Amino acid sequence: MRDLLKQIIGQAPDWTELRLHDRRSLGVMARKGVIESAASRRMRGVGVRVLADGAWGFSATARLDRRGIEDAVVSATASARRSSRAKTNRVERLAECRLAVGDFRTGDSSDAAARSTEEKTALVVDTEERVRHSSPLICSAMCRYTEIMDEKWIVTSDGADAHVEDSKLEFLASAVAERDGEMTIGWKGNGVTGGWSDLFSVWTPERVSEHVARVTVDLLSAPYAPGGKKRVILNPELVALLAHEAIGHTVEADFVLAGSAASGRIGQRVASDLVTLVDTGPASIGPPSAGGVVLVDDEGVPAGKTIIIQNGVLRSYLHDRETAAIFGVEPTGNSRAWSYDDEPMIRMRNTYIEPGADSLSDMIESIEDGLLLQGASSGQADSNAEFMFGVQEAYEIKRGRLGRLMRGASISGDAFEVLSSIDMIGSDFEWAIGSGHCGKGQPAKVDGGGAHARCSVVVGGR
Amino acid sequence: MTESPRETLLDICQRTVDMALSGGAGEAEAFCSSGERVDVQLQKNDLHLAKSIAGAGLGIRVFRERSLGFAYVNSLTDEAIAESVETALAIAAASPADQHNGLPEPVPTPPRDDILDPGAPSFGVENAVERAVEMLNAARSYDERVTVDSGELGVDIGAKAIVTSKGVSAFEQSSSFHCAIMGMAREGDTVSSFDYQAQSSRLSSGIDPAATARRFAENVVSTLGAVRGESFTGPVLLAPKAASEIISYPIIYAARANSVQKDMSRFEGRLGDTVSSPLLTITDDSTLQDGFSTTSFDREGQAPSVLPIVERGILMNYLYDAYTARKDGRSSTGHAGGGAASVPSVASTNVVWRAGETDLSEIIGGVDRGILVSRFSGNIDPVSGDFSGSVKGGRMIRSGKLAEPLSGTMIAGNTFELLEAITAVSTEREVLFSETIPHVLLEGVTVSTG
Repeated sequence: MRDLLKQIIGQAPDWTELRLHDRRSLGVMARKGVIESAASRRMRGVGVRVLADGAWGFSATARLDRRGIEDAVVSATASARRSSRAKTNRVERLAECRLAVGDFRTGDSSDAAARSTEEKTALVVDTEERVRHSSPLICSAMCRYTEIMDEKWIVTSDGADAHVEDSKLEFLASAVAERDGEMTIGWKGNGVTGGWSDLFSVWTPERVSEHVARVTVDLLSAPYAPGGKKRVILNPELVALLAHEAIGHTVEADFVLAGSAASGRIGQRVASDLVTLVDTGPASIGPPSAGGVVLVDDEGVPAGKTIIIQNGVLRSYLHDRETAAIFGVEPTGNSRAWSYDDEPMIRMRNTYIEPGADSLSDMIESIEDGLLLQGASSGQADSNAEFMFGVQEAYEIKRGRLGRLMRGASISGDAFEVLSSIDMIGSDFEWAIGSGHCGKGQPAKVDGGGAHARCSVVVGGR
Repeated sequence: MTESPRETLLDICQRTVDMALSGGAGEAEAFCSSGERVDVQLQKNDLHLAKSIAGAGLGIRVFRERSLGFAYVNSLTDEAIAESVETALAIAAASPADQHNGLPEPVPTPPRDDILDPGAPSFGVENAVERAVEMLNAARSYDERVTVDSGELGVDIGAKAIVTSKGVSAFEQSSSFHCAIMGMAREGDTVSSFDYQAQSSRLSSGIDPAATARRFAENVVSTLGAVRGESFTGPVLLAPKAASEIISYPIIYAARANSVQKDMSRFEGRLGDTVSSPLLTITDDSTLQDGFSTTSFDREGQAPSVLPIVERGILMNYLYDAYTARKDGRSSTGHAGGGAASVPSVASTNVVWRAGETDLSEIIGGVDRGILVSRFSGNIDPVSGDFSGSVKGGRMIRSGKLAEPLSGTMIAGNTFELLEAITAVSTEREVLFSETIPHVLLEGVTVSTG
């Protein structure tokens, strides 16, 4: 197939990108003692993107013979030429850079592939049952295992020629507890790049079960958190979400060009000097199995490490080849497509705030009246850096001591203001948001990380 | 000789079912879809990309001694289908049995002739580019401070077919036009609240890209210069988008039979009970004329229905697919959702709120101190009903008039508790994709600011 793609691209009149993507996935989900979904999916096809007359056209085909792919090239070219006539600012050029050539593999998934569907199904069924039987207060539980095995060939007119193998695994459990008509929900998910041993190295099925059961039941007895501006400690999961959702999207160069909150602020102080925020393709810190590992992006650009904020100063945006040319910088390897029939767009990979030297116990002791916030139940942000995250567990801190658990908290505000208020960062780094997907028109597997951090934020409560 | 899409898809489904049965399935279902999508995207105040894609997919669901297996493939070659049938059977062999598993009996599903726009197949990239530019220009010309972050306009033309070993055999063609625009307004360093406006319809005439763009532009400009509001507990007027998120979503979640059966619903055991103010009436109607989710059969080939969910505050019905119906010893209500790539599960279709009896201006006129919430960005737990989050596009209401735009304002509460606190529903309604929804006034909501 690689030769066929190269032959076709050799004859294409305009700049063309061909991406053959073969995806095999498996998902098994059990809820309250029964299998709710057990599904295998195979998606295979070629995505074709053409830059003609300064405009983009895209097409895709599941026909993998010469005729099918050539027809898709013709269709993408026609779309590009038509949109060119209506475009105000033509794409003058794509940034030059070293393009990936060769074979790339993100991790070893052979131990997942070697396990039978029976074994994976049994694990899901057993874990759901274990969570449900952990307490008489738990009335319902769910467990889900997902694996996505990708193989891609990416070829461009100007020399990219990469073969990429990638595997993303995910394991998640949740529970619902009920007492006197009141209900609470708790969950824990883990997602990695790699194999079975990576997925369960820290968050074993037993640990996931215990965590979910404990949180769900404890929340039932918890009072509602009070609202207002608070001194808080964010756990690594919330720090990761802040880095990805609230800051990361504002520095995606397509959003920057449309006027995001990070627009025009390169070189400016946007956070406290303790904050260094990074987006990286390979896991440049912590375990190598971060859930958003990308070695080569879908434009064939090698995916490296990009320092977005260095000691509080905004240094870089995240680019594809088009925006890199506009800003006069190197592309950062952030152009990603979810499926063969999706066009590449600027997406994050593994986004994190570098750890510091403080300990969690010192942070708790330093707070007179505040909250320790753990785990996210949801997350949303706009490109003006306004964010809002639901918090799973909020622990009261009074006079330097950890107090009772509270529920129903959320945090919100301007993400750059929150980053500017960070005055302590822990050393306990972890990848924390590898399960689930980032959504931006298309899904993407991403991860984020950080250590505990002390800051000020508006807490929504009741 | 070229076969019609009907013959082609039904033939593929029938061959798949036959293959599954001869491979050892006790029951088998094949759901096949094919279609074309034209889409033009906007980005950075300009046209970004035009695309045209054709594709197909086949979902195979089998039951083997009451164990479920499912496989999906996007290639319709004999080889790919055979491999997927084998995979589905292997998954079923690995899954534990469930006595409620199985396919529903066939029912009559009269075809509809109003869900495919005859002009859709020839709409093409040309028209999509033209109308996308019209949308962009309408937003940009409304006010120079408006900046369009992204947007899209396009059409999907699709066909779907289902054949099962129980005798279900159905085919349908439809079209879906859509337009969406999002972004903000900027004035110096001041950035407005982010806004998103979209429209969708089975018919090309059902979307008005320029009007959608103007609504977006008006919203973002009106929220420039927002100020931090006040903390209080009092009346909150939810605009249709916010009402959809805070009220409709938890209600529909709780009314799905699978939520009820899995102990994840506040409506469990409450059929016939008063669950809200008598001002609330919500119906799920998959037969709705011009409805975005209108169809002649659901994901399991069952007939559409008009199903009252809440009638003047009383909980009337749950939504069922075949699995949940069998578990409760009744028939499906035709609410199996999903596409070829997914295992069917309970889903709503067109959610229609009955219009209220008070004009929006009169509702606002009756509020002494409160807020208008255009959009809600936050956490809603549909199981407990707890919600907490930021007000987007918020406006203060003072002495019966819309006043200053708000920033940094949060609301929190519990949907199921607040249902009884609905004190007004507007006569005016908006159509948001599959939902027809009014403005809703709630009393006693906690509003807080930093």
